[in-house]
Amino acid sequence: MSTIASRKTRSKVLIAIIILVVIQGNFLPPYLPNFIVFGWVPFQLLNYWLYAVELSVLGWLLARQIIR
Amino acid sequence: MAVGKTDNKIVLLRSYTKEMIVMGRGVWVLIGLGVYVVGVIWLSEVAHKRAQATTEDYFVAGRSVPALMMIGTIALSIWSALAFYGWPGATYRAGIGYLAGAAGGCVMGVWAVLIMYKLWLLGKQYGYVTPGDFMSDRYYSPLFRWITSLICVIFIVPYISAQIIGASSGIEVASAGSVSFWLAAGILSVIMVWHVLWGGARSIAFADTLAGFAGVFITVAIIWFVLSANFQGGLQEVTSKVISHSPGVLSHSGVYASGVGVLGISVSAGIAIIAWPHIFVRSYFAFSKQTFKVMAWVFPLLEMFMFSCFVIQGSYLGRALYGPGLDPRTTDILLPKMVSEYSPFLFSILVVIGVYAYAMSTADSQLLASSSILQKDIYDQLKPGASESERLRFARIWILVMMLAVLLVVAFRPALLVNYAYAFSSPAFAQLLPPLLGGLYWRRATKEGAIAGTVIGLVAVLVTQFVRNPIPIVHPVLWGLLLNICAYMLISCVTPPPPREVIEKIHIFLDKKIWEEG
Repeated sequence: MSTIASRKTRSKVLIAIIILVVIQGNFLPPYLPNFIVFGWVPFQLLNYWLYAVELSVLGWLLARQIIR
Repeated sequence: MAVGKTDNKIVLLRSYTKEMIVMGRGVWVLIGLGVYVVGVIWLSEVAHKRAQATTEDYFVAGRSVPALMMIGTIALSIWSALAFYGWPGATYRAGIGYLAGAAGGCVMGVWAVLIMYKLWLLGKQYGYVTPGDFMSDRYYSPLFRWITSLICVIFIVPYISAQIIGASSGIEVASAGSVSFWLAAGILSVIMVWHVLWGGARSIAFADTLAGFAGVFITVAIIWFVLSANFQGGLQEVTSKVISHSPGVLSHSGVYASGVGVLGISVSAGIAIIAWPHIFVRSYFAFSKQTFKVMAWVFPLLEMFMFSCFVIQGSYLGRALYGPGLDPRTTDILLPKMVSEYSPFLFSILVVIGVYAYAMSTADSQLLASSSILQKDIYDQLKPGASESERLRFARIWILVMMLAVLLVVAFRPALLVNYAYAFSSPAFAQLLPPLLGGLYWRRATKEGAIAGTVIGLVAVLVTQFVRNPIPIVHPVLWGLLLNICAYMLISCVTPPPPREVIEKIHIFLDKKIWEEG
């Protein structure tokens, strides 16, 4: 029973973090600085790539809690 | 006089040679297309041999699609001709801010765990095949099944049309006009209808996986060649060229200079994808729950990789090669134009195969989803005692009827390519997202709330899209969802709660399956 409760709590924490990351990738980008990285990647574009990696890691962690 | 005659002969010879070259291009384009089509026909045949004559097998591949094919079929049902063909043009016009649409699409990984897995469990238990199956059970309302189904069927028509327009224009441009738009549209329509009628969902899943591999390879190959053949300094040279005349495209500019503008496209083209009928029904396809575990981490990476490639084609290579001067209609054919002018002819054939693969992989899924909805949600309700063969016959006839409606829209071509989906179809489908999420997670959600919210949201989308948008920066999809969610929650709270048996059938069943049984 306590395992179920802790899985539910961890899932809720992960969902809260995912919401923050979704805001990072779907609302904040225009307000970020836009210096060029590696000579060709604007930071606002790099932010989308970082966002995708973060979402991938969080999705994996969430799947581990919910899908057994 | 003799010299004049010789000149005339040379001019004539040159014109014949030019015609032969153009005709030759057409023949090679058709051969390239033919090779791919043969592959698709072979896959349809394999699928047909494995099929059983049941609607469940025909519409959801007998719930037996393995993880790799599930990812292939979902990805390719999202990455349509709009992506392969429309996105380079759209990112040429709008810049990197347009990538917000793909950022929204990355959320599909999370939706795989939070929505698709639950729908899969319910689908397996209760035999769901369409979005209306879930909606009518959860909201104990045949009326809401009808509303869901009508939204899915009506708004999917322009989306399928966009696939045919994209593929046919691509083939016409790549063959320098020797394969006409309507010949290409005819070939695509006939093969697509045959592929869907013959093989059903299993055939579509096979073909989508093939298209996925072909499309990713072709997209990357085009970037690699155009870049290495035309820019010795690589992407750094491209970037400095773009910054010299169009610095705005490498930052969030125009509509996408504000968070609300970004949110609009990311919801319309990405976050709401799960409510698109042909994606929704894919929740029922999976063979095992492992599929959703894999999707959770693979999908965000795959989605962002692919759409970043389209950004490089449009915002980087397109702008560096053509400057800021292309008119909007020409940008809709940016990819084949760029490939035919800046790379060998072989790449034009690859573009044709790519656009055809992407268009067909989405359009066939949409066609099958709409016919399953018409059969299960409308025909079965009107004629409950129909036999399996009668039901399948009805579904197949409707595929032909839908195809005719699609070709009618293609004939009129009323909008730019990406607008068919992101400004019209997707905002309407998105109105099913609140009742979908609420139906899975909020026990207090009622049928009155769902019906009122969806209808109000849909009206808001249509009014702000076609009549008047009070704040133009706010995308119609956001107006629709805002009013939808408010009405849904408010009315659900003031109407009698759902019957106990509904809560047991959906929520208690899911809780038991997920948390207790694991």
